[in-house]
Amino acid sequence: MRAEYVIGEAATNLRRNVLLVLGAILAVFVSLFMTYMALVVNEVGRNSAARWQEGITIIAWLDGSDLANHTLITNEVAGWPEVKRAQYVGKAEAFEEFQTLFESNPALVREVDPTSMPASVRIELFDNETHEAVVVRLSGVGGVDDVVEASDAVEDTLEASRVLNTAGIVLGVALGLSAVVMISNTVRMAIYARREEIGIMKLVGASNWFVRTPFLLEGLVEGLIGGGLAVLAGWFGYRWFISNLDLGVIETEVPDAFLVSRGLVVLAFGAVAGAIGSLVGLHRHLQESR
Amino acid sequence: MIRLQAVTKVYDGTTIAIREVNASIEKGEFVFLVGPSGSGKSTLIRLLMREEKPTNGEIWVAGRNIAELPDWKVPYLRRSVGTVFQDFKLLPNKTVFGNVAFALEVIGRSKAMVAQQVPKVLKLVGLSSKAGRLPRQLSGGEQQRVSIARAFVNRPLILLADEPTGNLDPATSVGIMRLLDRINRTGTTVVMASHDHAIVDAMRRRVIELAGGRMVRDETRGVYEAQTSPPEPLPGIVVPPNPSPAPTKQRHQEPPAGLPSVEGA
Repeated sequence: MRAEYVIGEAATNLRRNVLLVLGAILAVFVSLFMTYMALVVNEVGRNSAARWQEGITIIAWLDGSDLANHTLITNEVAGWPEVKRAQYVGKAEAFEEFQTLFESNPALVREVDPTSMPASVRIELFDNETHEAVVVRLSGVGGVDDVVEASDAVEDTLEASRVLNTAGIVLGVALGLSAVVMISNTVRMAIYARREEIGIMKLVGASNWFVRTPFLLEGLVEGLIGGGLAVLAGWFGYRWFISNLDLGVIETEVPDAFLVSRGLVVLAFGAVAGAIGSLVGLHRHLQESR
Repeated sequence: MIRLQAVTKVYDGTTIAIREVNASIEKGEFVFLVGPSGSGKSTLIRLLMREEKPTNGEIWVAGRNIAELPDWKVPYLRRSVGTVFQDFKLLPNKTVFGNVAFALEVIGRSKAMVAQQVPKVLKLVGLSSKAGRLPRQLSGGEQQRVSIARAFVNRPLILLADEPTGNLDPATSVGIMRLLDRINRTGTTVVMASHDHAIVDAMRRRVIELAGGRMVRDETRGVYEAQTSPPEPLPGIVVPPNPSPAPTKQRHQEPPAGLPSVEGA
């Protein structure tokens, strides 16, 4: 089979049904753009919350600097049945964390005495419903200065990113399916427009793949163009967003590597949606015999 | 070349199109399938080109039971079976040359092969001078010649024709029959479904008659209707001297002097 033939046929199909092809590309674009944005926003939310909250819901600030005593408290808390993980953060580590958090404000960092940072136990629960009981018990432990629950803001950020994530995935899947349907419709129309020709091709013994490949290529091109546009729009949209909006403490920077890797995933999804769409559209037309 | 063993075709579980048909067709034979509309002629043609699968029985074509042939191998079967239909099935936006070349192009033949084979077969069907025309610029008879050229350009073992003269006037039909006769003389087995009495009677070839899906008659050198005295053959059609299929030594032989040039038809 000549590549020249396959590409020529696919190009003809794409040209003949400009509106349908645009519709299919738009469907892929919208669905993949939403998915890509959901991934990015989720990553932003996760990044800004993760500093403080790697699943930690309670922080117990500790008195003094007696490492042996602190270890004892940490081990005790870790032994409680409700506690999934208890992590000790010493004075030095707490200062390091403080430095990274406020690296944009060196004056503040200079003001703070490293030894004044309190040590703490960061506690992760199996079930957040038990948090009240745990807080009460922690208050009774000797050497615990203060007990803080995850701040509402952080909780909210996490919650928002969770909702966005779910909504993004649900929307992405729903729109992804519609993209597959749109592509399969486009291919079906292209086949319908050329049914005579295909009938004759099969009559004179063209192999199924010979008939199929141009349409497969057509779907693939539609999926890739739609996915490519989604990635470009997402990339530049996000860059514009972070350079024009200052959200203060929330960390909005996402590494390029993340954008690239998720962009490739989105592109691959577009290609797969295109291929599946055209195979679905082709299926009925290529059945040999009843 | 073709062997049907107890072939039955049932549509939708209720409509019986073909019942228990047994037949054997040798290489180089010319066979008419006759019978009224709905008798199963077209179904039989579709079974032979594996557009349909039989419900029961075996269909052997060129040494393979095509009832068992997997779908993906069907294209390869079609390359050894040429097909011609009543409605020509030409691509309106391709020239005569393009329509014939299409059959070679889609099975991946080289440009050189196309350039060599297409003019040859256009000469055979008498359309050399009209290679650049579009189908709508041709008469019905000429369009059918293009369709025959397309079916034959790949030198199939078998040529199946479903009512090839059904849309043509009698004089044009005679020309088409001369052409099919000529192709048959190259050793190609021809199976033609027809309800054109004049044609079948004039050709005096083997006739298989179907009625209600059953095979009711199989006669060598038969006529359309059983037990009628056959009329004189059409001028120019050479009635085979004996009932046996054209012997292989006749292959590539020029038609006898009595057969007028195909170009004139």
